[in-house]
Amino acid sequence: MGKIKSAICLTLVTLAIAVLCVLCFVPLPAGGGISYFNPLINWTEKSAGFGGYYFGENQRYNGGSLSVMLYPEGVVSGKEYHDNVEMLPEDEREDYAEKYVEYAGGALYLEKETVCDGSAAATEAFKTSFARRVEILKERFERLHAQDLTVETVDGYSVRVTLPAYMDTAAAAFIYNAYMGDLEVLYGSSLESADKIIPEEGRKEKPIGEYIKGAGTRTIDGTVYVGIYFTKAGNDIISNTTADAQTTAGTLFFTVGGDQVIGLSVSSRITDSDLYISGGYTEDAARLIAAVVDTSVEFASDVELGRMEVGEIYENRAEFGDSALTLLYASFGGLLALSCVYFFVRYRRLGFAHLYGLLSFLLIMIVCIWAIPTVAIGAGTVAALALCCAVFCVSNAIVFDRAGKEFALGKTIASSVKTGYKRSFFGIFDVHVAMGIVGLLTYLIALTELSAFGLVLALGALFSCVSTLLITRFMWYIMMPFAKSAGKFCHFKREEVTDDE
Amino acid sequence: MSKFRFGKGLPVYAVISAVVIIAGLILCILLNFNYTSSAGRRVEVTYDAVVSIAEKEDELDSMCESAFRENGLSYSSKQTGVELDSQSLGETGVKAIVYNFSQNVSENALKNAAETIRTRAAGNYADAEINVSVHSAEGTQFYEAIWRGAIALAVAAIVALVYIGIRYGVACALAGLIAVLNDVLFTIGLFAIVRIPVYAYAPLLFAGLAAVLSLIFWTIQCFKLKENSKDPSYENLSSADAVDKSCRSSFKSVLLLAVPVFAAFAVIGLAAAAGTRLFFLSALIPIAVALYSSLLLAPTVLVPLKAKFDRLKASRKRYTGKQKASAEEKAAAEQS
Repeated sequence: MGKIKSAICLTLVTLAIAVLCVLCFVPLPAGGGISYFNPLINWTEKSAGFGGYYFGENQRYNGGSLSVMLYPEGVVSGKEYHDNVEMLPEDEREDYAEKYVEYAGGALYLEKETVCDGSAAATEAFKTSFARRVEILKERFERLHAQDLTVETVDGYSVRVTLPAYMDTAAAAFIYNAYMGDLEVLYGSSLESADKIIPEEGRKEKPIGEYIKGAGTRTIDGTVYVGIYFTKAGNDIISNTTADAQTTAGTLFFTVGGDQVIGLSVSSRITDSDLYISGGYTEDAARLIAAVVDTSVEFASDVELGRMEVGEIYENRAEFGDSALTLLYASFGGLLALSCVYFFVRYRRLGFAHLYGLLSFLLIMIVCIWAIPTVAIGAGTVAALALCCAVFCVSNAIVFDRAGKEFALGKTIASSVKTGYKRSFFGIFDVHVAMGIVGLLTYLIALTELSAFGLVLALGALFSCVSTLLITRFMWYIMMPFAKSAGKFCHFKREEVTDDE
Repeated sequence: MSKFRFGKGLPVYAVISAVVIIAGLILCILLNFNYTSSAGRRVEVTYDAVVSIAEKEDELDSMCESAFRENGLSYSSKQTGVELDSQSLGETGVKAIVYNFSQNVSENALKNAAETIRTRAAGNYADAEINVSVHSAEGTQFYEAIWRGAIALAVAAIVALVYIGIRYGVACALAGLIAVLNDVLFTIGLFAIVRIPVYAYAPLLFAGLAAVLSLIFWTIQCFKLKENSKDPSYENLSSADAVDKSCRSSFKSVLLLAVPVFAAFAVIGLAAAAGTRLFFLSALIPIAVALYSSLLLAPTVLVPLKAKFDRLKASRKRYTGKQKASAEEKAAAEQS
């Protein structure tokens, strides 16, 4: 390539990388310096462990987690109990206190009538019912496949659930998943006036499983549906009830413990046994609703399950502290700078080819992590990225080394580069293929953190391979015309041969 | 002084792996001895940040920390949060600091510390609404994530090794499979034995890291072995000698990758905040395990496998040669 063409290419590539660098890393003042344009790295989702405020704002936080306390009916937190007592007039306080019994050193208060059946300790029936509710909650939240999810039993009779803050449906999940009790289907113009159609009334009630097999999700052409799968008995009832829906439109209400989960407007007779409902659901929202309906069928039992009351909701800051992310970026940046220093010292100006390759790889990865909503910056994703960066740097070092050896044997620089890449191609390619296979399959099969780790690993393997074998080589190619001496440019030396040899 | 040989000492490596894996799995699966961070105790301090102690939050935090120190307590992690209204999800103005402690911490010491905080808060911020409570929590395991993660790693390793098998031969693939399997179980076992407090999912993540690194290191070894086998000096070597010679030449290449990866994780770990440090420094274990198995264990497994497959190859060659010779004889006879 001639000098002019090389200069044009180099300028264009430099400009593209500079623009991407600004977009990814540099906050810029916008709107008269009051508000700021935040770089992509700030917009990227953060897992519960990491987080930070948006640049120029001290209100909007990106990262951390949301947590909620869920209490069964008849159980209140110590704080709520004391607040209630203080709010009552003096003469009513004693009566109120009489109704409750202290539990777990005052962390909880149990209502004697509801929980203890008048005695001083929780009844066996309450314990069984609570254990069942915890089991259902665990199952429902697990089905959300959320990273950093925790479900804990706190002080014996309350539950604390934590979800990552970037999950849009986190608050809805706290509310919907707290619905406990029987699944019912009602039909009418409003929930209050609607008639219960499933389970059938008037004779001995059959379990809900006789009418509904379960629920799931389905995506067709980008629209997400919640699927309700009826048995033949359930389908017959729905079909008969909605027979005159064309003339008198109605709504099918799916309720759990009396709380509405789905409201479906019906304008024609429903005949299919698999009913797919679209309500502008996102994938997460559909999965949430399906999990609530499905677990209500799966865990239907004779045990009476009262609703779980939603208590305090907290927006938690980064689990590892606000400085964790800054320190992570700093150490990561330091390591990459160190790798560049190594290349500049060892290969002099050829280090620029490595620098361009490294920046291209890093920028592509950041854009990918930002653009893929299921990937958040967490320990696993950073580990995968660090591994890919190391593989990229080592691959470049191997190629440069090989080319240097070929040059030492007396070949021209063009031939040395060609042979260097040729001889190390399969080694580098195989390593990347192995990484890519593990990453891709882990992403497809595993869940949560391991899946995110797999996705970043697969993307990293792909882009590291491309950056090493194509971008770095291309940069080397377009930089060479500017070198007066190819050997000096790359810091390659010829092997010294004495006359005797 | 006896010279170290790659590809020798299978019984020693087998015993090391067996002891760690069996002990780890017994502790982890049968005795449920693995660490779960969500089980523990916590002290929760809630306060009205807007009205009662605005701009004195750091003071409250240090007061709590000194109360813990006086009662001989040290927390494992601390988290701050703001309370949201359950309807509008707007901030209520109430903030919370949660100090997490391990399960083994004395409940009485925690109660004493909580009482100290209450007394001091009442003295320092007389009108403030500060609530201090002590809680105990019991975490739950999500088994779907665990079994799907395990299946994912198994499938991914097998498919990657099928690729290695196609490129470098069945013996290399089988040796790699044993190495990867060893690394995954060894890492999980080691984490169970030493009880490094990584959170519930992390052992699988570390196992995944070990599997990936093991595959990478082993691919480098296989590549070198294939490249070296083209060298005429390798032709008359026994499989043990060939593996030993090849491992010597690839040793540097494996270290060339292992050292930067190790250094990167060490630097990130040392420079990072407490929680991240724990993750990245713990990740040095799977790197070391992958290095051990790809440099020591896998070559020893490869030697007998390679010998067997080489014999098979040779006998097949002989058989093909014989067939060729008889076919040529027949053709010559027919011609004559």
